[in-house]
Amino acid sequence: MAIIELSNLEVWYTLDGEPLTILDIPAWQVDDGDQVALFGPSGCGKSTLLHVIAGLLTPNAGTVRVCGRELTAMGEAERDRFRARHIGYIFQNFNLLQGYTALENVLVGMTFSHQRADRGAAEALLAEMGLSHRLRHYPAQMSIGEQQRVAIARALAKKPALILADEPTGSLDPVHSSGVVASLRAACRKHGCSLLLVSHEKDVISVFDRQVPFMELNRAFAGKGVHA
Amino acid sequence: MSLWRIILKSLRQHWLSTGMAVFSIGLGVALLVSVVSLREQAHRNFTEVGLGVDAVLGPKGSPLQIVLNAVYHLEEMPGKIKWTYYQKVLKDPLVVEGIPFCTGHSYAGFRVNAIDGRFLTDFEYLPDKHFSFRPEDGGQGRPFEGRDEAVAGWEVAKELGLRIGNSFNPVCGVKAGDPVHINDNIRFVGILGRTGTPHDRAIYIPLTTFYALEGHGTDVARMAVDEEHREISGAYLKIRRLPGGALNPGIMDLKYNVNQSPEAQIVVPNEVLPSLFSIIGWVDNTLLAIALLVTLLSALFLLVALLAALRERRRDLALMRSLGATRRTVFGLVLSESVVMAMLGGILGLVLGHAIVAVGAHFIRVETGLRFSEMYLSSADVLLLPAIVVLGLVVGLVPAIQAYRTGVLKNLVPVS
Repeated sequence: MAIIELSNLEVWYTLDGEPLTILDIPAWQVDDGDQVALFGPSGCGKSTLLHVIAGLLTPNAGTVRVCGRELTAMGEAERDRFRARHIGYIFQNFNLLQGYTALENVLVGMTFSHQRADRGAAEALLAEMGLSHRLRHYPAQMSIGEQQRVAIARALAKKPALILADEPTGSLDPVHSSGVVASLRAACRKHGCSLLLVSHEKDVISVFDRQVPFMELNRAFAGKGVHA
Repeated sequence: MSLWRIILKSLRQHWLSTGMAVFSIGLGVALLVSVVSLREQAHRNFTEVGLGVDAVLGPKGSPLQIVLNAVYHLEEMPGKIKWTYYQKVLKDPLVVEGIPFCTGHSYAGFRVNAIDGRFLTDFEYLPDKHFSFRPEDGGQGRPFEGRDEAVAGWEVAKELGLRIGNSFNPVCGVKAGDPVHINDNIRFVGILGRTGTPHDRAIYIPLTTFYALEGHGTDVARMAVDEEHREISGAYLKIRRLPGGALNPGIMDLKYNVNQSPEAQIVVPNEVLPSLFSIIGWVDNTLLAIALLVTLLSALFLLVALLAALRERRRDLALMRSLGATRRTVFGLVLSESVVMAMLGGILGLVLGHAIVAVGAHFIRVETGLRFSEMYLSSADVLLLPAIVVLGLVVGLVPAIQAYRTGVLKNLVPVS
């Protein structure tokens, strides 16, 4: 069963009166339980695709199905609720709530997914990420790698079917990068989540069994030079 | 983590602006609560207390001055009336009872009124309420009987620490420095139970004692025995009532006839007291307007604080939206914060307002004898919480709409 199905997906903007196509993907899918890495240079539309799959951005044309539900047929509030329940999102720049501790950041993730804020489960997830000693620390008191692990724990806390990771190692050095990606993949496997990760770093991509070059997938940029 | 905890967390995060906004609302509400409470209690004091006295027969002069002196033990009586004229008025079929008195003496800052003994036994200080000497009512002893006996009001006894058997020398006058009747030693034989009226703040001696005090001269002493010559400050009049309890409208004729004479006038406290409020009304309304203005300004302060906090929080709200919070949820969060801040301010204002009333009540009681209570629930108290919720909702609406419009992608992520 496909966890993500894209069909005739198009996203474009108008720039100085001229249409600028960002995404043009005729068909693509990710199967349930898969761990897929999309790679491509910066500015080629990888993040935009994740936004569309997460329901944060409505495409101009085409259909997007996630977990068998057609996101493009949903209203914004319904998409928000769907995302809250089924999709975990990890941003490149962590995007932790700065005024909340590591534990509270995870609990907030649970709150908006309409789950009971299970303190024990949140603590266990952070322990899984090697952060037992950081529960009550604020993001500013943690290293960048630790912050990203908190973000992973928060994404997993809602027990999603799909994790979308947008350049999750973009701000990390190579040593921490491989550690974070390994943690993310292991956690997704353990919790039964599918994983779609986008990155422009070859080291990150190389550990994935399924690696998809985004420039081939996205016809909008096929054959065009994009700044890295 | 519940949404309430997220709201409280946000308030804590912006504790300075939250605290300032709460304090400013508290200040506005405190002013409002105290002004309305003092205003209502003043009205109540000056209208309900007057209920015990249907009418006062007094000398020519300011009717308000007569009521303040006769009923509230304030001011001074503008003159005297003839005993014979009082007797004449008493014979009117509308007058059920009269209690004559002479004012003008004092002791330790409290008025000493010479009054007919029936005041202590028959007079109704409020409808159907008579003075009590029973210990369970806070009273002691008995009514005066002899020439050199006195009864103290509850407040007087409490403030001066009086006991039965204590004695005093009355001052001939009500101002500091007035002469003392040093040869007239009057003994307290009773303390009145608490009435909650200005009568608690006076000392009562027999009417005839007034004329017999040494130093008043032979002319006044003669008044004790010569009724033709006798004068009094005034008299409380009890007027015949209609079956439903309303004053007999014939009082208007009686009042007209008495007021036409050069001898005296009849003053109905409940007619005169509203004029007091028309005199002080502008002060009253100005204070209320200031309180309302301060509350409105504090509402603006709340709005500014919320907007400033929102500017800092756009990223947080966008992040919450990315985690699945709907636009309505973030709208509700910001609106709830506004209501919570307004309510905290309201509660603070309520406490502060009653504290102001407590302090004010102390000074008013010392100065005038009128009793105000910090525990009095005014219309401001009753309307406060719903009004403050509405204020919070109205003020929070603009920031909440801005939060509702917060775009996730615009505030969160770089596009790659």
